[in-house]
Amino acid sequence: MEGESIYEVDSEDGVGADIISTVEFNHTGELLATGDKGGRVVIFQREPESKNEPYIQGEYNVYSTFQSHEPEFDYLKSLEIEEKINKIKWLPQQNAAHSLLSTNDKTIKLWKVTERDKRPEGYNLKDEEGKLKDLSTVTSLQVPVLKPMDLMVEVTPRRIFANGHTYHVNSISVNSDCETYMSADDLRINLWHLAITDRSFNIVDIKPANMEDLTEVITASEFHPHHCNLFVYSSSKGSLRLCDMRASALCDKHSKLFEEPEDPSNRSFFSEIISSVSDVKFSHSGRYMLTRDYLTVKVWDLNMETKPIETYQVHDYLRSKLCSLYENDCIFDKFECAWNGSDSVIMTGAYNNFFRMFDRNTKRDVTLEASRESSKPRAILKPRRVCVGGKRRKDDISVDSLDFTKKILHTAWHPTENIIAIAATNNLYIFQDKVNSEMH
Amino acid sequence: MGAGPAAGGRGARSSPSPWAGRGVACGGEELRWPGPGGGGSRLLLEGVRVPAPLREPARPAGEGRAACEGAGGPLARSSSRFMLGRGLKRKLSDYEENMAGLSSAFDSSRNLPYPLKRQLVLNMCLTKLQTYKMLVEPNLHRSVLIANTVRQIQEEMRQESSQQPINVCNGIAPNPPSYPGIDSSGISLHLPSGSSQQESNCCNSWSAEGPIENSLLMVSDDDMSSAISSILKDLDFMEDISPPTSLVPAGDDEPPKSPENTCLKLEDDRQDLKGAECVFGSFEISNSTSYLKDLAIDDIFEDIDTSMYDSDFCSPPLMAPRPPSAATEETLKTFPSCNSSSTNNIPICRTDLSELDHIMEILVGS
Repeated sequence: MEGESIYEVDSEDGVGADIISTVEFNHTGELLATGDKGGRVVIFQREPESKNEPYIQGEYNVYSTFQSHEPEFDYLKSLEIEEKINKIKWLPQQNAAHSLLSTNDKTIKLWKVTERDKRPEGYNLKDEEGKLKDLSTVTSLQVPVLKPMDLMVEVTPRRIFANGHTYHVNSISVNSDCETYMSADDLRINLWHLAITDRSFNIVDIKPANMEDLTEVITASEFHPHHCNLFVYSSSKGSLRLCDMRASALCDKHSKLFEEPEDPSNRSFFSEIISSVSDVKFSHSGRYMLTRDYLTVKVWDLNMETKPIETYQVHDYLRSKLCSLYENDCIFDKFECAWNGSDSVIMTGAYNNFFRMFDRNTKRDVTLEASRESSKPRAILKPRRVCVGGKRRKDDISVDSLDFTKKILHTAWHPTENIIAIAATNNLYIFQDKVNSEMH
Repeated sequence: MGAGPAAGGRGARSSPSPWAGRGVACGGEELRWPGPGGGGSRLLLEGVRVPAPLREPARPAGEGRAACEGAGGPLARSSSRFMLGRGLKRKLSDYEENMAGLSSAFDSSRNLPYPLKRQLVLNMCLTKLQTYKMLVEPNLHRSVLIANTVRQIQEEMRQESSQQPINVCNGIAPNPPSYPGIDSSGISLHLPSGSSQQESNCCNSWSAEGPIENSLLMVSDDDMSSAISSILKDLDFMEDISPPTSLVPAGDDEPPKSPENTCLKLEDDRQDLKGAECVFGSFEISNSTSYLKDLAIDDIFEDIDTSMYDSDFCSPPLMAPRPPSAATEETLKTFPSCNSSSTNNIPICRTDLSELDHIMEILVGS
C-alpha cells in the first residue's frame, strides 16, 4: 500500500469540532464524503486520469464543503441535539447531480450536489451585472451563449426528514430500489420514501412495554444490496436479524437470526459487552455479511445462521485488558468494517492508529498504521506488529504502549479499486495500492 | 414556623427547592421527592453525591493487589482494609486513580479470587450507571450493556448463595452476626465444620440484618443503595421494596463493629437488580413530557387533608413528642424543610416509601 495524501479537517475553534465521524465513497468511487463532529460535510473528488501527468492520477482533492447540521436544542426535554454527523450515504446517481443523505442523532437530510461550470452571457434585457437595460438602447437581438466559468459546486438541502426518532440514529441505508431508505436508532427502524418527509413507516420496534425490561438495543442496520425487501440489523447482544419486508408490515419477527453460541472458554464478565456488534455490512455480492464486534470481525453466510463462516481476530491481545478498557470506556468504542470491491479482503480499524486487513483467500492479514510518516506521497506502508511478550522484534509495539486515544473507527474502501480512506481522529488518510490496483 | 424555604408549603406541596438548591441533577429531571426536605433527604442526597464507591484507602494498586493475594487470615484482613471504606469521601481524582489501579490489578493479577474480581466489576458497573444518571442524556446502548452485566453478576451470586449455603468468598464462609462462633473484634475467617445448616438459616436471615453487621464490602452496599436511591428518585416511582437498610450508615463513619461478611446480602442484590433495571425507566420518562409527572404529584397532595395540622402552626419542630407515624406524615406534608435528626430518618424513609406506594396506588387507580 502506498501512502498518498492526508487531509486535515480544520476546525474553526480548534477544539473538537474537527473529529471525523464518518467516511463514505459514492458508488463510482469518484467522490468521497466525510462528516465531522461539527456537523460539516467535506466532499473530495478524484482527479481524472491525465496522460500528461500520470503520477497525480487518482488524487483526491476537496470538491465541496458545507454545513450539514447545526446544533439544536430540544426545549421539551431540555436536551441539546449534537450536530455530529453519524452517517453519510450516497444515493445512486441518476442524473448529472449527486445526492447524499447525512444524519445526526435525530434528523436526516438529503443534499443535492450540483456543478455549474457554464454561465449564460448575452442577455437582451439585462446587462452583465444583471441590471435591466434601458430598452431604448437595445437595437438588435442576440441569443445568449453559454460561456465556461470557474467550476462552482452548489450543495442544496432538498429534503429534511425530521421528528422520526426518539432515540439516537445510528445508521441509515439506501434501498436498492432507489426510492426508499431506512434509518435506525437504538430501538426502532423507520422506512422513508426519499420524496416524502412528513411520514415514515416504522418497520422494527424492539422497545419493551416496560423500559425496565430492556436488555438489547439495535446497533446497526443495512439493506441488502440487491433484494429491496431484505435488510439486516445487529444488536448489542451480538445477534443479527435478517428481515423480509414482504412478510409483514412490522418486521419485529425476523426471517433469520444469526447468532453464534458463546465460547465457554472465553467467558468473562465482559463477554456480553464485547459481543455487541458495532457494524454490519453486506458483501457486494449480497451473499455474505461482515460484522465487527470489539475483538473480532466475522463473515457470515446468509444461508447459515448458526455461526459465522470466518472469524478474524483483530486485536486479541486486548482480551486480557478488558477490565482496564472497561474502566476507561474504550470497550464501548464502535469500530466499522469494510469489504473490498471483490469481497476478497476485509478491513477494520484498531487502536494506536492501526488498521487491519484480512485476505479471505490467502488467510493472511496485515496491520498498518495511519500516520503522517506513512502517508508521505508514495511512501510505502510498512506492516506493523504488536507483540504480547515473548520475543520482541525491532519496531514491534508492546501492548502496554498502545495509544488508546488514537483509534480508527471509520474506514471506507473504494467500490472497485484498491483505494482506502481511513479517518484517524481529525485526519483523513487515503491509501492506494498502485501495484495491485486491480481487484483479484 | 416559616423558617425554611418551604414555609409556604405547609400544605400539600413540598418544595423542591432544597433539592434544586443542592444542585443535584439526576438524568436532567428535577427531583420530585415529596419527602421531608431535611435530614432524610439529605442522607439520600449525600448518597448520590459521593463519587468514590470504593472508598479504599489511598494505597497504591500494587500494594492492594499484594494484599489480595495469599490466603487465610492476612488475606481477608488486608483485603478488608483494601476494600472497606472508612467513611471518608474521596475526591473524584483519587477515585479515578484508584479505579484505574484496581482495573489494572484485575487484568494483571491471576491470583485475585474470583468473587473479588466479580465484586470489583460489579462496583465499576454501578459506578458507571450512577455517573450516567447524572448526565442529562445517558447513552442507552452503554447503559443497557452495563445493566446486563450487573444482572448477570447478580444472578450468578444469587445462584451461588442459593445452591451452596457455604457461600465462600476468598474461601471464607459468611458470618451473620447471630452466628455464635463469631469473633466480634474482627473478621472471622473460618467456620467450624458442620455449620451448613446454620448458614442456610443465616442466608435467610440476611435480609433482616443491618449492613453494618453483614457486609464487609460496606461501601458497595452504600454505593448500590445510593445508586438505587438516585435512580428511583429520578423515576419518582416506588415499587414495594423495603428501604435500603444501609441508609442509616450512609452518614455513619464508624467502621463495622461486628464481624463482617465478605459477600453481599441477598437483599442488596435484589435491590440492586431493581436499581439497575430502573435505569431505563428514566429513559422512558426523559423521553416523555416531564411536566405531566409534576402535575400528577401535585394533584396527589391536594387530596390530602391537612386541616388538622393547621393548629400546630406554632409548635416547635416536631419529631420528638409525636408518635412516629403521625410525625412522619406531618413531616411529609407540613414541614418539608425541617432538618430532623438522623435518628428519625429511617422511620421517615420507610414511611415515605409506603406513602409513595399509597400515592402510586391512587394514581394508578384514578
